[in-house]
Amino acid sequence: MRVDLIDRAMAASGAAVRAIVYAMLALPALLVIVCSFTSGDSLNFPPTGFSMRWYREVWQNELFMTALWTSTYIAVLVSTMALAIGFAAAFAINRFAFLGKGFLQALAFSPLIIPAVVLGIGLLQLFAKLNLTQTIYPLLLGHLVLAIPYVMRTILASLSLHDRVLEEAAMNLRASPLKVIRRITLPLILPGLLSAAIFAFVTSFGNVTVSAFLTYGGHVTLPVQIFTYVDTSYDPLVAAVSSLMIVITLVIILVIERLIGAERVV
Amino acid sequence: MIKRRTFLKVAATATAGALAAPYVHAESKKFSGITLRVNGYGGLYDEALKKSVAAPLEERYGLKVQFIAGTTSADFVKLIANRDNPPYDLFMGDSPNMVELTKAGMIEEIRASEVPNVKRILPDFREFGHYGVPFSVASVIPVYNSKYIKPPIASYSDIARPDLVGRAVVMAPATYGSLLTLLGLADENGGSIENVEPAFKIMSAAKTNIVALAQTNVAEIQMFQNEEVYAGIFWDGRAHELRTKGLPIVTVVPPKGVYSVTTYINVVKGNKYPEAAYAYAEQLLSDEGVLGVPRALRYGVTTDVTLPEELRRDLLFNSQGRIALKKKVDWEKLIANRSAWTEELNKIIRS
Amino acid sequence: MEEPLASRRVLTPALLLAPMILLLVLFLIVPTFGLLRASFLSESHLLDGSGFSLKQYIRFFSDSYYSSVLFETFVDGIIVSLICLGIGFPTGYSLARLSPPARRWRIIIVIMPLTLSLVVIVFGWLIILGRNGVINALLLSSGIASSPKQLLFSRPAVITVLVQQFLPFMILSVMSVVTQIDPVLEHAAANLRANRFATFRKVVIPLALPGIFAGFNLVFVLSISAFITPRLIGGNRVAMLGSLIYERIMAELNWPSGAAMAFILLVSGLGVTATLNALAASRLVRKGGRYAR
Repeated sequence: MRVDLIDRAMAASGAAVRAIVYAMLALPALLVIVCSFTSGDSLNFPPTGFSMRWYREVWQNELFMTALWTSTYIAVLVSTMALAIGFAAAFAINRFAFLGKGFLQALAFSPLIIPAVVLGIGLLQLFAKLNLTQTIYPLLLGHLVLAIPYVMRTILASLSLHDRVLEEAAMNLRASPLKVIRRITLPLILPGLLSAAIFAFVTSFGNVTVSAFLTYGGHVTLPVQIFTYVDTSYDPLVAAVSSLMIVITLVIILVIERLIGAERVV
Repeated sequence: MIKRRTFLKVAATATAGALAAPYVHAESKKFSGITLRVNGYGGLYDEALKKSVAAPLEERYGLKVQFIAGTTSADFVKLIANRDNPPYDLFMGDSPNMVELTKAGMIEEIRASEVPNVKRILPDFREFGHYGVPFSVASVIPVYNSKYIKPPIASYSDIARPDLVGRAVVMAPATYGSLLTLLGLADENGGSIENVEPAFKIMSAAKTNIVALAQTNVAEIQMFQNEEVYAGIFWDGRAHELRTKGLPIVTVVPPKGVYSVTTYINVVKGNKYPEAAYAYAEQLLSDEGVLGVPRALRYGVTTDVTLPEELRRDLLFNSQGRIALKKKVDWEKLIANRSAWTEELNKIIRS
Repeated sequence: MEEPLASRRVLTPALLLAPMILLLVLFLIVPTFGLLRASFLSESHLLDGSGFSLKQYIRFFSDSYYSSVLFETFVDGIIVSLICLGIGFPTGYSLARLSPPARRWRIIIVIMPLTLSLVVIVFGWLIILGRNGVINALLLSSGIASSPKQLLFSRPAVITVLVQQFLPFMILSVMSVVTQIDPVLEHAAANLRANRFATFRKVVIPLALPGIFAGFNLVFVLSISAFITPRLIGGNRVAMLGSLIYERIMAELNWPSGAAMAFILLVSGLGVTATLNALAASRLVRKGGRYAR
């Protein structure tokens, strides 16, 4: 009887919490999407009328379109590289015994606590000395540094949980370590890898504070473009661009899921 | 996407070429193939400059101008960090930025011999000797929503009026708008740049009035638009923007004087195309160029240009008398005091 | 072709770790030390320079204003992390137990806020919390309030928005560990007539601890170094150290002072996380010992 009651109370409160959480997470984004279809000149809620007008404006705005492209390819590069570097390091930390592990973990997570402005200016200073500020490297490496902690955290947590019995069994069957990693470890921690990749992508795709110092030449990332745009004007163009950002992220997430999901079957 | 961009470019060049055809032979497009890089202020500001300055230059000389959006302080850091290989050929900055720019030795002096239109600049608008070409002026002034605020606000100090409780906004210390506000308050209450204590007294008195410090202009616009606040201190161009959105916002001209910043274009030292950069400055100061920003945003002009009627009506500095109200500011001192003032203001406002 | 085991044990991890170490040393540690050096300069707005001075640090510690802001920043960070844990754990757990197709769209809702530019999120929140906003409309129509309430520019508003921003990190952290806990363990506990609460406390939570710790630390460090939200939603009425640093560097161009404040935040933040983790770990060990007996 008591068991039943507690179970039911937990189920009910759990459902309530989840409803609030999803509403809270989705609401600001939904409002932005709704507002992006306004036919009026200002970003208001509720929007006045319905039109695709602001999407046409974005499409015709070369600055935003170029920035969108820059952001996307940098984010893709960053998440691929971060995943490779992060998995290698996390695997070493988790599977081998050596001194200074705690220190290495602290190192991996340190980008998180360094205020973005400081990292931005520090990197700018460094790349200026190297005479590389007007290349893509500052942006790429800066985002990579920012993505490492997310990737490491997620992969480490996955690695520390999954059962090593299978790996050991395969090793005993004289499978090469690479094969063990590819056939057993990677598929097992796939959800972790997936979320690591998404973390890395969104970290790079959404960053303003570090990017603001590292954007080169005419190549500005989309968030920086939005940030400076809204400093002088706040029309529904911003909502339309943001909605586009949402859609792109959705597509990337779905593609990653599809790709990895399909491979998993093989 | 790339295809579409290329197509647009081709189309644009073709159209521009067709339009400019009569000129082509006469002027022989002396800057064709050159692209000047300017730090952009973003949004409508850059759009206005593109239309009134960049487009005519491209048509006449084949000169291209690229506006690179960024925040001025981040752009400034980039400029300083890359002395040897400056990322911009032209740098826009307001009066406070000019102090840092001249101190850092990053910009060239500009004289009438290089930019003849410099002669047209009104007397008090060139604040840094031969450095910088001022092309626009923005003022910090009291504004209020006349639907809710009945006895009109008359001065900066009225921000502390008891009937504004929970309904006022001022700019955040991160923007120099708040520094100018402090100067205005000090000035009206027997203080000066040397002694801003009176301003802090007013700010303390206004603390219950002030809902928030607006971090960005857009944030302040929204507060007025959502009727989160009814009165505040804001930029003159922004007050006009609120009026165009249909709000009954009244701009107050403080009787004891108006505090403004001037926006300058600078030629960056070590840039590759000084001639083209001077041509940009020259066009910026021409009638067509200097009216670009006022047409779009209703900020004031800095030259002897004759204002068209609709601008004369809207601009704050539209007559000799008004311009006489513009206060001189010792920008060097302002920058030197910035940190201490910001700290004090933060302490007062923090709840 | 087996290599000697000993050499492989040293070489392999070293090779695996090298890219990460190289990346972080060159592009994180080196620039950070460049700024640490700058924090000991006495002149403002100079990145290079000679001389050594504690001026920036003295300015911070001689004014109680700054230490109280630092303290409040940490309190806010802990509050945000606790709320995120409280509501993020059940959500992350349920996500992990859903079938992949059902999970997909929920995950997307979770990830969506991360992709939005903060400026846009803030706009969304202005609509929700404003004087003419959604919440005030609800309060008025339901008769709870008779006039619109000032919800924005307050500490609760800042905390709410920070929670919304960082909650996804907690949910995803929890989810990624819970997916790897075998449901069989929970069924076993249930079969032993443990109720759901007991199953949670004794089986799920201990197993999910790595994810909980990861999420908690993540949210905490993100919250204490946040500056856009406190500035835009708090309107300077809510002071957090991140926004003071931003102001110092971006508006005043006083890099030495900003750098000094950043290092103070860095060191004390690490201290707080380490202490919290040690406390939590020692409690768990004691608990574990009790159960073992």
